[in-house]
Amino acid sequence: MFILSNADLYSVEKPSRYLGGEFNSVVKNWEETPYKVALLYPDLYEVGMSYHGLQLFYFLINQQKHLLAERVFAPALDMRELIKEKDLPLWSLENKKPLYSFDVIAVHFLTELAATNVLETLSLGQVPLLASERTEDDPYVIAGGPAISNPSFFEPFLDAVFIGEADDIIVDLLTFLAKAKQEHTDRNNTLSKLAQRFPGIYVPILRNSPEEHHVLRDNIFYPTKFIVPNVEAVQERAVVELARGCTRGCHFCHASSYYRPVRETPPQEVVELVRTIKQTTGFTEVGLLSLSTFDYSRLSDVVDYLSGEHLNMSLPSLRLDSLDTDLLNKVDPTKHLTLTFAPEAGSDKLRKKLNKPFTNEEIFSAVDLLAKNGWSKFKFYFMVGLPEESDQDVLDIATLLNEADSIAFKNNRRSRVHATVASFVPKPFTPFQWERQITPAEALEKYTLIQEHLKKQVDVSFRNPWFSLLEGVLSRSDSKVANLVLQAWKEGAIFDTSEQYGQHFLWQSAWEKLGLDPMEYLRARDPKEPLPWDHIKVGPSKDFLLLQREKSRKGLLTPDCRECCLGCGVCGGDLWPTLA
Amino acid sequence: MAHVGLTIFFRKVGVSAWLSYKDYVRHISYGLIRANLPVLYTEGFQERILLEAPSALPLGVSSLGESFFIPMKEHMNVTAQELKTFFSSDEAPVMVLAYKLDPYFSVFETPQGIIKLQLEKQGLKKALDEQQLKPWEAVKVGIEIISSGQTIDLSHFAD
Repeated sequence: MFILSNADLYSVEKPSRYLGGEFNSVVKNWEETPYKVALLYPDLYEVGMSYHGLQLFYFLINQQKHLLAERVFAPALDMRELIKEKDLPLWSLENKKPLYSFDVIAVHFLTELAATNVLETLSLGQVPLLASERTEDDPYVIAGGPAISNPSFFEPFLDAVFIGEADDIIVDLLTFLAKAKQEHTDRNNTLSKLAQRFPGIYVPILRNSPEEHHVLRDNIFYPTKFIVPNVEAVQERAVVELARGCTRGCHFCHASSYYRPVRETPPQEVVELVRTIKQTTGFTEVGLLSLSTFDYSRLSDVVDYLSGEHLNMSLPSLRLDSLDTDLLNKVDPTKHLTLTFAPEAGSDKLRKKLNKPFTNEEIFSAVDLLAKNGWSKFKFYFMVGLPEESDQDVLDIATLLNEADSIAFKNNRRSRVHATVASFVPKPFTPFQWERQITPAEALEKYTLIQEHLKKQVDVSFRNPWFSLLEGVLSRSDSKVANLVLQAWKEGAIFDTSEQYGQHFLWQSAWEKLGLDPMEYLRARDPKEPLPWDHIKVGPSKDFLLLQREKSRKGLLTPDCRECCLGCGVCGGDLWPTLA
Repeated sequence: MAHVGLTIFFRKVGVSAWLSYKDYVRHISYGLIRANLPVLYTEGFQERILLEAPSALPLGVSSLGESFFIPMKEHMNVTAQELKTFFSSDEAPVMVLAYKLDPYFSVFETPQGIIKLQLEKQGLKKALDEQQLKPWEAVKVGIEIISSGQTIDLSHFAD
């Protein structure tokens, strides 16, 4: 074990990020536990500690006597410099062990933009970056998460990728690897057997065809306690999964494909979990986690059960087709919350093409009703650069916001309307995976168009289109992009998730050196053209996605699959939508 | 309206010494909820535990007696040992004083024997200053009482 001196700790911001020792953290005996896993979250401590999945796997793995899971986060820039200066390997928070000393490094990939951070953390942990350079003594680097469903941009750095949800399989998978270690099976042989044994495993050197693994509702793991972070997490709350999956099928949404079908947690279990987590952590804020909370069939019951328990509930964006002011009143009696809507498009016609059925009139009625009932803060999310979008559709965003602001102001003079506008990024495994992505220059033109037509009272923030460009290149990448990621990291790119740190000139320099044109990755793809992620099976079948794309073009809506099976190809056997 | 309260002295050593003031107070609040004490909450949307925290220590500075004043709904006899499991080892309470809030009152044992103290809302400091007592004398004896397992029934000292 190595310890930083007090002088070292004084020299960095928020030193308790690097010390561990949190309430509920699990420190197992390093020597006596045969198989060790580092849960690597490639971002700062306070960001990673907000992530429910990290805590889920932490407690799930640590329940096993023969396994040990410890957390590793990306250090901030000041600590990174200190680690390099002192030539220390990046360490885990529990036993303060170097990253290279673990048997497996499980990388959580929630956004493609974390790619350079993963390289940075592996490098600081003194783990060989390329899978081909790792020896029998090095850990296996296995990634999972929605952003790595097309792993092309990161394949050379990974020994394996887990496609899908791993609640019911992670222990078996690690036990399998532990046994291979005990039997001294060589690395390639172990990976090959791993891919044969677990259909959700993709091994880049084998180029096999994995199939996404789904978990039945009864096998979902619900942690009953969470680590209480030393530094206040970005979202510090008792998180309970209200439902996994969403059945709305918005055509742009990757999570909708990745987490199918919907599996709702029974309300009694949700309430029991919230109470237990409050008791084990002291958290008084509750996050009811789901892709579409207002679609949860027993939400009112859950809110009723939890009222009067000194709990603050946070609300995700509201579904206008299931707006319930009585329920909102129970959750937010002081009308303090900002109510969020995600119309995504400014016109009804374009919104219909996204499979979002509500109209501008319904949005205005909702704002009117809510403002009359006392709410004064409204937030909207929009995208520009959507397929078949016209200038009028973009202008309609400004018109919608202006009108919403007038309605809110008419009812309440303190009302405020905010909006966030981002450039659309087509994601693999969605009906829009073949669509063209607009360039940053086009996005800026559209942003300007909106800005010029907005009332000055409406506060709009525009996502830097350069981030959308990078996200677009990585998410629909081919194998050439992995070199780009490596080159950008060598140039110094890190924390690309943050507009504060993101330095796009480093990426610019990287693709110039490699002779790559990022615009090539923004182009529309022909449906007959093979896609770099075709060998991976995630979510609905390709035929279903094509059908959805056709329906989108014709402006036809696809119903919620709770109402009738749409034949997307995900369900089967015991796996079906499961309601509370 | 609180009629009873606790003053709890916490250690701020080890990892806790590197917690910012805001994070330290946050941790103590969580621990009090975990301990299921009959605490009071602020009103408003973001309900928080009512407590008065000591002045901030600089980052990295350790302390063996950070006093938190916690008004409560009802009287509760609780010892530092009982509370310990609800906090991490670094920030474990070292002494708990339970008293009625009206008048603010508590009992210490000092080398000179048991004394009664009128307590200000802020805690002990002013009362100790008036009687020219060094807080550490009282706290140290309190720690010894706790470690030796000796208990004092505070109720019969309260008027």
